[in-house]
Amino acid sequence: MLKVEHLNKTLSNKNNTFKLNNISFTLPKGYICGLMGENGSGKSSLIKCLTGLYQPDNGNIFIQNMPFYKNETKNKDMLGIVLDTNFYNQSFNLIQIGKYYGSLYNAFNYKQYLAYLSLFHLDSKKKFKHLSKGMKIKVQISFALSHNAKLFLFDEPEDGLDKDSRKELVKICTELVSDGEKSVLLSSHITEDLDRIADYIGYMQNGNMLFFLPKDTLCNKFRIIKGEYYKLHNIPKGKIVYMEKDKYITSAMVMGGNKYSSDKTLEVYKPCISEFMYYFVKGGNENAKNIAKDFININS
Amino acid sequence: MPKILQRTLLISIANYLCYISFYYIASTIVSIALNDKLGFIENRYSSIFFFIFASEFYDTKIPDYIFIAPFSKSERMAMQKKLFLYNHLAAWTITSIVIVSPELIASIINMNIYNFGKSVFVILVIYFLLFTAGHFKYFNLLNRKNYKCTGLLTDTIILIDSSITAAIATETAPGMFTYIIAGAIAISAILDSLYCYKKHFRNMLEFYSDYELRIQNNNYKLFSKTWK
Repeated sequence: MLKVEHLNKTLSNKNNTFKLNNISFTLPKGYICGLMGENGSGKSSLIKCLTGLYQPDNGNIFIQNMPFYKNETKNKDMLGIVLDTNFYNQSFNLIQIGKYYGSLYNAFNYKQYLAYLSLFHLDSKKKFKHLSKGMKIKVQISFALSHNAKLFLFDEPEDGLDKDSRKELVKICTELVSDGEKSVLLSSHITEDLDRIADYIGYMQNGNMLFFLPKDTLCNKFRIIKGEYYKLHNIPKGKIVYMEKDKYITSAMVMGGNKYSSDKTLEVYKPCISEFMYYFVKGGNENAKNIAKDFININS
Repeated sequence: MPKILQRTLLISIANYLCYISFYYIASTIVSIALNDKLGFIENRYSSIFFFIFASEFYDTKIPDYIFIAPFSKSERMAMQKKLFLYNHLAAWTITSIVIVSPELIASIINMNIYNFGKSVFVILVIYFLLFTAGHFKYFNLLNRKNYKCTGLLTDTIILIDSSITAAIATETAPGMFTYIIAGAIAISAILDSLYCYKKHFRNMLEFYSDYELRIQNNNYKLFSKTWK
């Protein structure tokens, strides 16, 4: 469904420069990918490249095997987009948004749009500028779901959503991919939701895609080990993502740490996505890079 | 015409008509208050203001949503080009109507060939002067490094153009001299139009059709305002 090859993009302003470095990954049809990473790791920039807002310096993007920029119009028609920036006219009400912007798409379903608005308890006669942040996201989601898109690019859609709406969104994402024809790329800080629905995990750090793997494969290769410091101290440093010392107990996330499960004095278990992200962020950029390199070498 | 352009154009026209209405209301109030000592109702003032208002047409850009809607960059550029041309025609038509139409109609009724010819000449001059004003607006937009300097230049050009329009439309300066100046400026405007079409027009279209460039410009403007 979505294939990115060696994508590079430099973004600069007066004070600093940020670079997306050699990003490559493939998201097959019918899967949900959770894109995670710290603030400023490049998730939103990557999504903006995928939507065509930022033009990559080099590299290729393919949607359903079609090069993005060679078939930009057709490809964009297949994208359902939710971004942190609102592009709608602020003085429009939600009906006008549907009619006006919907006319730009080939397969916009106005009734479906209204149905999604009512699902999210939105008053269609309200003006867009009078909506709260979460409500504006809901409008974007409703619109993205109503023009028969094949690939959904959601940039932190849960930001500002209440708990019920988050649940609804998770349910919608699962339903979307159930026919095996659509895919979702979802960037989020709410790792619990990614844990529940993501089939793939893309982990970004400092403009690099450190991992893009099926969630289970990724989590299976790491273990969290808890025990006394002197026992964990012997683990080779190159395998430790991050070690956290407490007064009584020390915990560490270790690459390929399954062999330590035979030691009954240690608690060894598979990390969930939020733990995975916590340890990688705490471990720092350099360490994460080295671990990712080792990981790819071992698994290739 | 795509719906998204229709609406943008209608908004520009509605804005212009609002400006004119506000001008008439404000000038009437000022005239009554000052017993028309400054002659605010006079045509020459109106013409200057109408021309300045018309230059606002050139600030219109295609709506932001176009960047994520299913359009390629070349399609966006084509849309912006259409919008520019429609805006230019709308600005020209409305400005000509409000400035020249009373004299034009009167000349037709009275069969006054001189006045009729003069009105047609003014309409032609307005076309090119507006094009020049629009060009400088884009030139200003594209020169972000000297934004303040080119901004001042643009405002000056618009003011000069509007004064010329007012002068030839109302004959406040000696007739022949005004026509010579206006003619010279109209010729330079024609040359400038051709030059700008070749050099800056494509850059302007690209600028308006590129999200990154537009964002950078907004940031710069923001910075510039803060700095002021």
